[in-house]
Amino acid sequence: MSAYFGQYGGQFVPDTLIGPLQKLNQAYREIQKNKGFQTDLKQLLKTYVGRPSPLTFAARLSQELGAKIYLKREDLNHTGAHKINNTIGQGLLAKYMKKQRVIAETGAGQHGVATATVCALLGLDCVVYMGEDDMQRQALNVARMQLLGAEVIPVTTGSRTLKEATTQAIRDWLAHAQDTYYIIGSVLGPHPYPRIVRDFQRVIGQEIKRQITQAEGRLPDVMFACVGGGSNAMGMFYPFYRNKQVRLVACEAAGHGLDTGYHAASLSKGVPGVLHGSKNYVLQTPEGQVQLVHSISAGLDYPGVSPELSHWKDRGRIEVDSATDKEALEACQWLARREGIIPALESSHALAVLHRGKHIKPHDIVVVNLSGRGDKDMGTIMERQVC
Amino acid sequence: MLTFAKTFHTKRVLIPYFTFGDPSISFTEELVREAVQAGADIIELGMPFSDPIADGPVIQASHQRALTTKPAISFEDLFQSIAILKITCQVPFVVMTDVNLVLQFGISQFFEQASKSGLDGVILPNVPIEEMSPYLAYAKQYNVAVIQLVSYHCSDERLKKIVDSSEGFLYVISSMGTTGIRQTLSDQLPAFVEKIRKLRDIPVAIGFGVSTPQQGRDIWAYAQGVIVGSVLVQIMAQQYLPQKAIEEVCLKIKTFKQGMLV
Repeated sequence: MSAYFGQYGGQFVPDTLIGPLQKLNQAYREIQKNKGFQTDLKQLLKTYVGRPSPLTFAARLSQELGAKIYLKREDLNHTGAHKINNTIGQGLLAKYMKKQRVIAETGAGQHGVATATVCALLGLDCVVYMGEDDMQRQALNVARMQLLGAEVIPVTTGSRTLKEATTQAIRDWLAHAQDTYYIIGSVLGPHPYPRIVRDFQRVIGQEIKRQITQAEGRLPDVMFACVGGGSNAMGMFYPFYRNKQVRLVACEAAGHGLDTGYHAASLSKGVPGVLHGSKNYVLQTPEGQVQLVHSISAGLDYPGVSPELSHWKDRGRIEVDSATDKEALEACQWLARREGIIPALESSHALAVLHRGKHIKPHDIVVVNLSGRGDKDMGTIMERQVC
Repeated sequence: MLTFAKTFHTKRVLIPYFTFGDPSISFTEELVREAVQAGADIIELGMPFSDPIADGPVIQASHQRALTTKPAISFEDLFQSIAILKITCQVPFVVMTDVNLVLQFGISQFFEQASKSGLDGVILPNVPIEEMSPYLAYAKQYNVAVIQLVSYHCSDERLKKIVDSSEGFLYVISSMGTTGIRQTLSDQLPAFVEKIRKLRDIPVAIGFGVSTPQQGRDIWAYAQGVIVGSVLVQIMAQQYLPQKAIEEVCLKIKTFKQGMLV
């Protein structure tokens, strides 16, 4: 298994972590062939997460845009987002590797909640690192993690958001790799993490393939997913990589606007660099200092992006677009009022790019990944007086 | 590279670490001069970075201080200072930096300018041996040593690769985790250093967590070099009078050096 996707990826971590990463890689190869593991995983995804998640035909959106719009309902998963697909998989992997202590980083808190949930389910100890600013923005998720028995450690350095939480989780792992499993939340970090997370998330795209073929008799023309680190996008896109007729649109957070410096659009505006153990597009200064980023959605507020998506961007396999904070809020309201679904502000970025209509032709079959539900964002939405 | 051999040949070696530009470049230059006067055998300078993953809170804060003073601090600044310092300080200089800063500067340009400045060695803490080849190639071309970091959990197979490709000296991480002050160091270190010695006759320096002269003495019983960082950098955080900070750092260095003589 190569550590690279083209020139991206790799293992840029201190020597201390190479041994633990090799062991992780070994265990990951074993569980792919382990029938017991795969049965447990399938069973939990079905009876605990609620998979397969529905593919909903959005009739009123379709009418308005003149195309056939389908929504992949990851918002209906247990804990309210796609994040649990990965934490169930990695939680079982932690168990398989006999690690009792689990750590995670979180931005919006969705990955933290999904990790805390799985740890409660499997009887593992759970520590979640979360930026202090995010803890304020997402107080409800902090309370959920604590109720689930996790210890939430505030990270007070730098931007006090996802970037610092990730750095702090890596530092914890450096010190405790012998007895600790690090459940990374996105398709990021040193090899083999980007592959592990992608593989546990690809169930999204696999289901879409089946569901859309059943509904329409063919594959979609174009698919949209929001991109922060890139886990819901990779999960959706990966099974379609070789289906070249299916266009893939990665929707980033343009914050206040791509030219304002206040955004989190790593693929659109970043430069290849090394962040958190792998080479990928990074928002950084000319000297190489990682920049503070901004997005209204804490889950997209990250200066790096998946190494595999970085590679796909260079190869032209994905189209990269973005939506501002304002557009995302409007798209959130749009879906709520047209379809009776309140999407997470992360997913609202994908809806905003869809709404612009630039990437679709009349009668196209379109799938949008509704990666999470908006309950956690009600505080932000009320502040901005969208409702 | 001869300079390292010479330094390690003659005595037990003390390597203080300072963050370049903490809290200003001119301060670092003065601090280095005084530290060499006080007995530092090799100077290690850390390039400030926004996200130093291998560093604990003390050194993270020092990077932040340097970046607050000069957000666009660059290798050009660093190499300029080293060129000036090398005129009066007759000791080897090594630089520790996150690899992203090197990538943005350009790997070839980095080693070329490092060499011109008189820099003797480079430490890339987040480049393990598996990712090292492009850096080794340029380092060789421009005659700059790449000093490899290795932890005592390293497998025998990887250790051999690391030891074989090392130049100058080998930097052994004293404990799991990040840099920072620790009360005790791992008891596995002496055996690990012995294992390295059996593979190759290369000087070994131990760092990460070394904070007391007693720990220094213990290390010198089985390894040639001691790297001291957080305990010195902490003085900069606590002492606001620059001259006082330099005096305190030098006093610390002297206490460590006295430990050598015992």
